[in-house]
Amino acid sequence: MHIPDGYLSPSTCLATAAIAVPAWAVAGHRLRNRLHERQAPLLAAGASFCFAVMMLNVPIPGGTTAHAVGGTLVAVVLGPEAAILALTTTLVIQALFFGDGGILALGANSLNMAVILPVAGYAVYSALSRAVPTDRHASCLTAFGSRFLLPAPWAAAAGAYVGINLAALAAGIELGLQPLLFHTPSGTPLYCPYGLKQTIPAMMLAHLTVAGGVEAVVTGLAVAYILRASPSLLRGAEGAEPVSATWAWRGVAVLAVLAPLGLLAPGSAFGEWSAEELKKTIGFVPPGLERFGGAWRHALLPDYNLPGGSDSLGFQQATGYWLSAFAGILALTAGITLIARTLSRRHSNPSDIHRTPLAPEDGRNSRKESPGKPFVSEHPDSQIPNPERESPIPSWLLAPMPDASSLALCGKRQRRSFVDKTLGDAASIVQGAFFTETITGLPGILQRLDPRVKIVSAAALLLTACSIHRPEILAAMLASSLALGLASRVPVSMLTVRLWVIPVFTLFAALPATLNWVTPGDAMIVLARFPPAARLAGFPIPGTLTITSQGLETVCILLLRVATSMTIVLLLTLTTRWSHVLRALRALAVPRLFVFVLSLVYRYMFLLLQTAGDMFMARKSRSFAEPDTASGRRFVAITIASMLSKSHSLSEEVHAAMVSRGYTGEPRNLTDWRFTALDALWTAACIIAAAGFWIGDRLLG
Amino acid sequence: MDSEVIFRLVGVSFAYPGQTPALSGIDMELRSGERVALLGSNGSGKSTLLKLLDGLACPTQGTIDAFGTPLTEKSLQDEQFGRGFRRRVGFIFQRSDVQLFSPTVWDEIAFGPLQFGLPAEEVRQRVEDVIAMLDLHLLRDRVPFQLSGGEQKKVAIGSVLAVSPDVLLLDEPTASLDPRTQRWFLGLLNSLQAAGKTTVVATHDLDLLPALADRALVLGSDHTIQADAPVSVILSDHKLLHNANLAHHHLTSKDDGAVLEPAQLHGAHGHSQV
Repeated sequence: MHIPDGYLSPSTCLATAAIAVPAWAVAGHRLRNRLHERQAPLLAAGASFCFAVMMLNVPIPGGTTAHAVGGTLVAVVLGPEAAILALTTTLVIQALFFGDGGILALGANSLNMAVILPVAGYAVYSALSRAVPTDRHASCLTAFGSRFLLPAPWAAAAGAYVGINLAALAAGIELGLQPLLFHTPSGTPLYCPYGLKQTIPAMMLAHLTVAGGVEAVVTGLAVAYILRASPSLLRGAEGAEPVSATWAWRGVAVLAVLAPLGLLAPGSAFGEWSAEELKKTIGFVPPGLERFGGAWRHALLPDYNLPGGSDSLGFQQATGYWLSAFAGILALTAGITLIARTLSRRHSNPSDIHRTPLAPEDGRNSRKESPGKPFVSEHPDSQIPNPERESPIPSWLLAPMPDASSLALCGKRQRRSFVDKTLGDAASIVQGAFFTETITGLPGILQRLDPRVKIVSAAALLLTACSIHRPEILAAMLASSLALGLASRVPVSMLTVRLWVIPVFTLFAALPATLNWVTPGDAMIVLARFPPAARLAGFPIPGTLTITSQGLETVCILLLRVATSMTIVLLLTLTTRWSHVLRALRALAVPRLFVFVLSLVYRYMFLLLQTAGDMFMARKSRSFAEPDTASGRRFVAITIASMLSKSHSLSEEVHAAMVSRGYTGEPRNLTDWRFTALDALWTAACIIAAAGFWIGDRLLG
Repeated sequence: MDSEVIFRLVGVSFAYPGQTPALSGIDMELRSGERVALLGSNGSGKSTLLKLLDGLACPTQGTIDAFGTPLTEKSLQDEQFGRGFRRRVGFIFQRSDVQLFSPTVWDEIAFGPLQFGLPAEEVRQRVEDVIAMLDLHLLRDRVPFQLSGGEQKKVAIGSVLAVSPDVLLLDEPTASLDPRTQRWFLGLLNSLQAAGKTTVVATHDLDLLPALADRALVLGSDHTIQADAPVSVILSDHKLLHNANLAHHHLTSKDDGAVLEPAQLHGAHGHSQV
């Protein structure tokens, strides 16, 4: 679901960021009021937890694996505000270090995965769960009728399912709007080449079945485990006052209204086209859309016929998406409620395990009870546990090993388990991040630049790459950024290793877009001809299957843009020390809390992965056979749950260690940053290059 | 014993949220230049007491005065007091891996001095001095959390010493060290103590106790202070040590009240491996 740079137009990036930024602000504000000092370690715990969860592969039927996001779990445990900020931090780190999701696309990715997912997930959880200890929430509950309420794990699973699917829907809408809004006059889509009728079914199919299921199962199991192992975690972190659910619901409502409109509105405001051009662009309806578009739209939304001529189609479609988004939310909520009712009837007598202690324990009360314990020093044996008084060792433990267990080789190899795969992932990531630190010390051009200048110029270049529409210019940009990498002594092998995954994935994903069925246009190569009245699954299909020049061009543009954007981000992170990135972010007015959390996360991401690795190792050392899917899944869920509580205590400890040495949240380095001649030269070069690329693009296009 | 009182704890209790108390009714005073050991079995509250002394947690009951000022969340937020306190008090955590969070050993050692805004030249000089003192030359560009346990502990100690605190709080400093590093550490600690640093060492290692401290506080399993006396007195009180789960009778000894020779005493550390 991580959208890389290059798939979305700059205006979409801005529009989504315009929704995500207020969400961050509100979340940060509320969290500050609720938690004061403790917010940073808490957020960092959530973020590193999410990060680690996304590294853990969960076995799914059929022998493969998928990963969960864990957003709803974090929202349930830490509250939706913390989840928003924690997931955003995770996305930033993933975008910077692992090429997972883009920098410009951060707004869109945050909106989907860090705002919609946890807020919707938490809203559903709190509406369905009978274990959310809020007073204000109680009124909301009575509206639903308490008999529909579920034990917390079921409610969390339902929330996770809804959350991830809404996030996927939002991603599908953002991607699917691209070809409709942004294409050349000849019909070449400039960004994501797939329209809504492809992106939404594709995203929803994957998430309604596999990904949603994984998320739901893992979240449910993890909540069940937390309830049993450390129920105090579910009371909102650190005894803070419980989170009210009404805000999450309000958030869902606002998002449902804003999301599709917000996508469209700045499309005209960004100034990429004049008003006339925009009208022309949006008024242009690809023939493919005309052919297939009616079918599902009319089936789903028969009332779709809104007034307005063909030139207000853009607005009409926006309304259509708004309606379908709304319908989607309604349908999902209705579906979940229905399932919930069925389940709650089946589980009418839930065991008490599922109930969290509702009454918030007053710290004072518990203190009053315990210190009164009499202290007896004269007769210690009655009070103090004595480790010497151990039960006798059972005889089987002392008996020699029966020789039933053979040590001879049988020649059959065990399948490499998900455990090994996961460990491999974690290890390679840790190594990758360590290697980065060694390159930052090399004497190259980029290493010598002021980090602030580097960050700003990288953002500017990303934006340039994103607004360029000609493949030739993009190829030139890619080549020059690769050359820059070489000049900065970044090993070629490293660039290629880190660069191939996403573009190759993009290539495979984009290949069908070369065909006339997806991207109508001038035929270049005819692949197949069909009889005139041929139908596929009831739909009439065009007479020929061809590769269109527009299709080929759009795939080229997409590939080159994705590769260029990734190279720019890679060069930034490979040549800048992490501590310098943090300080530069601070200098560029990124809020202190966020920088602090980033610094904490980067640190104990490793610790957490190590812990997870140790848990897997411990399991491996005690078991022989490859676990079956179900028990493997349960194990991952338990790992996730215990990682959550571990990351919580870890974050407290690391935070304490930093504070103990005088850390106040302000990153400090030794290097004195001065805007040198080299920086000036670089800035000038960047401006000239960006302008050159942009002008060249306009001239060619 | 006329030296200045730097820590004064009155009726201090502490409980982690929603849990049973980790400390209850602690009264104690710490004077400048003292060598104090906190003795207690696992879970008796030694680490918690050190955290309270470092202002990383605030007591749920009672008060702590540090350098004549009440140590509260509020006073620590005061820019001048907070900074002054952090500079004077250094804390070496039990787990080195949580204490080391910088990209390289060099950065780790420089972290503390940087936070206090020392001039760049002095920071560099201090880091180099610490590296020389602890013989960390070969590790200077390594990633701290990839080091071995003993190396990590060295770096953790160095990173705290770089600030040059007057008071050193050490949580189980010898637990993960091999015998040779242990000896090295004791030498270092003793020279710091000789230089007038106040040291508070949490430990359950009775063998090393005489080398670590002059005065010992014994925390019982009930999280109260059971004894506060010179180390020699504590070590000869076998009953007390037994009750605090710090020593156990030899398995062959059947007499409950038997007074054991010091050679027969085993630290809980050794016991836990039985």
